[in-house]
Amino acid sequence: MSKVFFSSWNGQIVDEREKALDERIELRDLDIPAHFDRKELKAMIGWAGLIISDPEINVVEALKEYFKNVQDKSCGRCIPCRAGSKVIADRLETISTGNGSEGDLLFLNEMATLIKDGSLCELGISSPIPLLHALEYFEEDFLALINGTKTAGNNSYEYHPILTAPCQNGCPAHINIPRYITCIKEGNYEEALAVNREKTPLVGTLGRVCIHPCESNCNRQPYDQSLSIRLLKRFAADFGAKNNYDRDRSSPLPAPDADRVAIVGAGPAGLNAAYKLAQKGYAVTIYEALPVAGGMLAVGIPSYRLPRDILNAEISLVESLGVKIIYNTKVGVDITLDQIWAEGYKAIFIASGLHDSATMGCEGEDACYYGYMPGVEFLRKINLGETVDLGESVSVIGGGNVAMDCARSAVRLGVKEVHLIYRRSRTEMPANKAEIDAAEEEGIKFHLLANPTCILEEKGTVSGMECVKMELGEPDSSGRRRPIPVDGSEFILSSDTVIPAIGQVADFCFLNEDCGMEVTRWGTLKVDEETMAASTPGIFAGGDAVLGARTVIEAIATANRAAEAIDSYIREGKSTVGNNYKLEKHIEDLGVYREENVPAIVGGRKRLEEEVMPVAERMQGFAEAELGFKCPSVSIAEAERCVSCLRLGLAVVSPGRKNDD
Amino acid sequence: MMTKTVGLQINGKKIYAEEDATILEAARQNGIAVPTLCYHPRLQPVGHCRLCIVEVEGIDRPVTSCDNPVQEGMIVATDTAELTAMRSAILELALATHPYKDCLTCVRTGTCELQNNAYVFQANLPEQLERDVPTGDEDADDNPYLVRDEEKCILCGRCIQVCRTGPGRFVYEMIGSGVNTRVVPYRNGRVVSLEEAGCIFCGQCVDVCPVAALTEKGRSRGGREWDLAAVEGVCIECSLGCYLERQVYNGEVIKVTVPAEGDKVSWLCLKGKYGHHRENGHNRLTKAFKLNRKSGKYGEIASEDALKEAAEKFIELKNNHGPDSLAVLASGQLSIEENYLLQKLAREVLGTANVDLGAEPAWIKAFSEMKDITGSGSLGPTPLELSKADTVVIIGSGLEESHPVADMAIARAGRFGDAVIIRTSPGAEDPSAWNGINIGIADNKEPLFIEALLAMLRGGNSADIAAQTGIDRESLEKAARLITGPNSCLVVAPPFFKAAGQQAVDDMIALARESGLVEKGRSRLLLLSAYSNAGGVLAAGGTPVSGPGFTSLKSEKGLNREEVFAAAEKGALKGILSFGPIPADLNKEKLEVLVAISAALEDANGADFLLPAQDIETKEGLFVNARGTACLNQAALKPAAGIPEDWSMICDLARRMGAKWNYASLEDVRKEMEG
Repeated sequence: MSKVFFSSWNGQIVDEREKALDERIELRDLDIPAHFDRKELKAMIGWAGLIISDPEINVVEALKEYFKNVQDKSCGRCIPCRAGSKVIADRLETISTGNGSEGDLLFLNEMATLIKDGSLCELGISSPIPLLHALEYFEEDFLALINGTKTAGNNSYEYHPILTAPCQNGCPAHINIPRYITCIKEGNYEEALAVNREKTPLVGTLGRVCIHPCESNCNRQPYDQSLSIRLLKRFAADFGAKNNYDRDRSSPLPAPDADRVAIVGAGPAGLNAAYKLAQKGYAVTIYEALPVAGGMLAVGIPSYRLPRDILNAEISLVESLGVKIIYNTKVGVDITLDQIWAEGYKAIFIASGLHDSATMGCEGEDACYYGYMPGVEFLRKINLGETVDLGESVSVIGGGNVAMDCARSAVRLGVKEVHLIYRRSRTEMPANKAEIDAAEEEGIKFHLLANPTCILEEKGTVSGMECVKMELGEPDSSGRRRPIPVDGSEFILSSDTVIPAIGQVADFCFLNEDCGMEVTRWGTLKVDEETMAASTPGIFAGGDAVLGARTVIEAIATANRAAEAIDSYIREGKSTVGNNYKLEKHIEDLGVYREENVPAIVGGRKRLEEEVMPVAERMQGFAEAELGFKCPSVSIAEAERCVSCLRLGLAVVSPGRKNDD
Repeated sequence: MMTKTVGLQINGKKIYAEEDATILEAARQNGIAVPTLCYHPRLQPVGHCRLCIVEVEGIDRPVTSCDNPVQEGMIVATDTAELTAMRSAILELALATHPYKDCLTCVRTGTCELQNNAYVFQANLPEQLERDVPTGDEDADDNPYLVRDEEKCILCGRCIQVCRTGPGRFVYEMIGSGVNTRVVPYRNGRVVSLEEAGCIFCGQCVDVCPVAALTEKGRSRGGREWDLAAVEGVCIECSLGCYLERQVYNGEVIKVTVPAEGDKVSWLCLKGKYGHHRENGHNRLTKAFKLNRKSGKYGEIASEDALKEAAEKFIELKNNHGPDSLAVLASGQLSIEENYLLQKLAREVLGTANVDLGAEPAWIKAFSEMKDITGSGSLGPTPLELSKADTVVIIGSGLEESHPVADMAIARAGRFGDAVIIRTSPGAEDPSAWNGINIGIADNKEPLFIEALLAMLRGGNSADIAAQTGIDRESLEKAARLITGPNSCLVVAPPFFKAAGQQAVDDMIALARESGLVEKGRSRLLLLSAYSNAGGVLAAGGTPVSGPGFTSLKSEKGLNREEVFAAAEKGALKGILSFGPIPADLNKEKLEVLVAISAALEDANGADFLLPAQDIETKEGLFVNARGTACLNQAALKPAAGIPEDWSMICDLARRMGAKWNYASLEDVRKEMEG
């Protein structure tokens, strides 16, 4: 059944109850997913209303289940939600068992309205909505139970609750953001760190480099500005680091006969999968090609953005769980996948990342001129402490974070003239706005709407580039306007060094025909999008190697799913992920951030900012440039802006095949 | 400097409020009543109870007034029919999860904030919702200080907050969900006892609880809330001398509290809050005892006889060995009037200059010098000022035990405020602050740190100083930079005063002066003595180096406490009169008479005569704390039968020694002191 029987979702009433089955519109016509976990969605009860596709659904029963879940999730701080939801759940039970009376309908309406208007957080504000809709549109169902003309009947549905928030849902790893912000608000910074650590050890890292998709979902945006969620996370991590949070907490090491898992690559995906698997009791070994762990965190992002001591402490945390990292061992060169299997591992997780540079299609780029250095290589060299001769001037090509990292690092290495060439305009640059602004402040000269056509050389050494100006035409497949060269606008840009930073590609030297793994047309590994399992049993993959050049938090999300799937694969022979991920995905498809759903609050409270090192000082070297919130009072003040937009959804499905929940 | 004000309208009335005031504060300042339940003037508002909701034009649901700042042009309504109906319904839900039938026998009846709201709203009494929480057990013996009754808890969250922001502990957590949510002592994922959860029994959670979910143990002994008489007083357990109120009923101190707001707002620690419990642990001395030196046993003796014999012995020693063979000591728990009388007895009646009534020589020197610089006025930051400092430098360890209220204020500054906390400590303790620096330095080596800082301020080279003193260079640079900040404080703890010599004190005062902490009219230097009422001792002249009214003695200096004990062991000192306990390890062989006036039998420690001392609860007197602030302690109880008041005992003793004293009351003593 994928038809709409009735929907009040998001205030749009679609009442198909009078129509014949084949006349009813499809759920997908309302952008509502028709399945959950490969089972038909019978109904969805949630913060924005009711969605019912199965006419047999007993709306009262479903709402009773919903309110039992509200009671179960209600944090207890405010009176209306904690007591009111119990009153409602009890009353719905009474009605459902045939002991209700007509006065109950008005009572329920009044109580629901009280909770909706009186509660502290959005769980209380939004959970009465489906009940109010039901009372309005399904009054007959209530009356039928009250008058005894209908009984509740055999309930053979499965109810799957999900408590989330727009920010939490927007986070690829679904970190429990409202909870850790409340912890900070209430002065319990250690617990805030612990909440983050449920998903990842890289809390201080993310607090510095995460691109925070959560913040784009913050419900404060229509009023003032989104919460500084990333900086609150950083505060929790930094407080823990300053107060020896990990020193007094030890975790058990895996048993001597624990099942073993091998991981290729100690980048964020590899480290996070190791962390989760070690917590589940597995003995994990990571094969790392470089002499250091961290992947792009260590050899991509410069230390003025992510100090090495922060990163290294978090890597040590992973190792303290018994995870072994074998350095300078490139899988495919120093050891093959077959040899790894022969060591007795039960599963392999490939997280080798994208450590080669994409080509520009520019004449001369393959000629190995001295002074031509791909961005990925440049950053790796300086992060590993090698000296690099850049000359007096550098040209960086690209508009993403890697390009910014290259340009700003060149400044810090003392290069006086640093150019940035990007083929589109400033608004299309994919880098963080803060990075772009900082780069400009540091004196990097931007050449926008320009692209190199040829690398110029003198005696095999780079002397500059021939570039052409661009103009923007129609949007391409990424949605951004396609840059088109302007005839006759060629110009020369001299420089001693050229650093292209336009993209990263994989090195899949470890793959051979026998291993059975497929590579997609974008040059990434093909895996199941949910379980991260490759077609070859026992092999999983995640991070940039699967996603393309994406972000740390997305790598972490794939790693966590892979860890769950690897665990179920080893224990039960089947790769599955838990319900929580599926429910979050379902909510995401339903659309969790909409301006019309934003709770009513008093606005006018600006987002608090972090301390930043002054430009002149930060250009001197690689000391951390951004310093986080100044002190706890600032963090608490920012945390107090959080409205806790918790939302409860309840997916109702009929029990299908037995699922590993 | 005027704070910016904001204009807004409440119930049609135009009012002005400070820019960062909340709607609730603005309303109340203008006489507009708004009900609250979880709100507390000393705590951050959290918006849990929802009773303070108001309507703000432009926002389509009510908002809490306690935690929303005012904004220019806001139009607020606090008393519409809808709001009243909502508040009544919310209150009813609260009552549905609270055993209001217990009101009949509850100790909080009369001051319970839930009960008050129910009265004001004339609330309907609903059926109780089923909850799975344990009931209170007054006889539970997991601790002697407070009783938890979770059935009564309304989950306002005040206790959780005050525990974190007051003593800086994390005893309580909210666990569970819905109506079964509980506030419990929690550690490592389990519900544990209060002690296991790190409780220091400061009682602040009891003080802020709006209902009877948290009460003092023994509260049910007697007295309805309106029967209790609040007697103003002061705590004399440490030199902070915090203001407190003893709540008396039927000749007993039922509990000790502090005001929630107003200019006498204070914090208490275990010693202040539960100090009146101490008689439970001691053999409370009610009679006088005399030691039979031959048998080593004590026998009872009438107080008058003890005083008579002791007086005679002292005069005999004075005549045979001279006044220098005598000493008068106290441990700092006498009032300023008593100290005055005692030093007068010593100097005028016995003729001895060996007077030490409870103040370290180093502390006396430091305090006097600080007072010389500031003139009059405050002599150190209050705990509240400490909690708002942007830097706190602490010299000397052990504040957590010796001066918990100061320690709490510093913890608050570091964990919730803006402060950098710099402490000297022998171990690598967690600073538990956002910005804490531990200057690794052994106890008694604190002068080294002061020396180093002073050298830094005077332009020395940090590398050299670091090398010379063995202190980390970066920490030194940071400390030197921060201590000169506009809102920094320096706290000097008892271990410093115990061991510091003249030079160390001079350096410390120089450091305070040169970093701008101490100037005319103001001091951000807090000197904490190991003795309570150290300020009072100094003012009354109870030190071997100063007379009453802070007069410095040049020629008639006497021995201080340590010197007295050394002389007694050598045999140069023959007689000691001591208010307060004598050290147990003092070699008394060569002493001919030792008189101890103390509260506990175990303080005897070989004294020839042991007389009962007066409790602070029964004493009227003025006390001066380490900040030089005087506070009157009123007598909350009548002195116990057979225990003379300290001041009259001193007069009695003096008369028996031949003095012609004729003080009819403490007023007479005070007049003389002023004159």
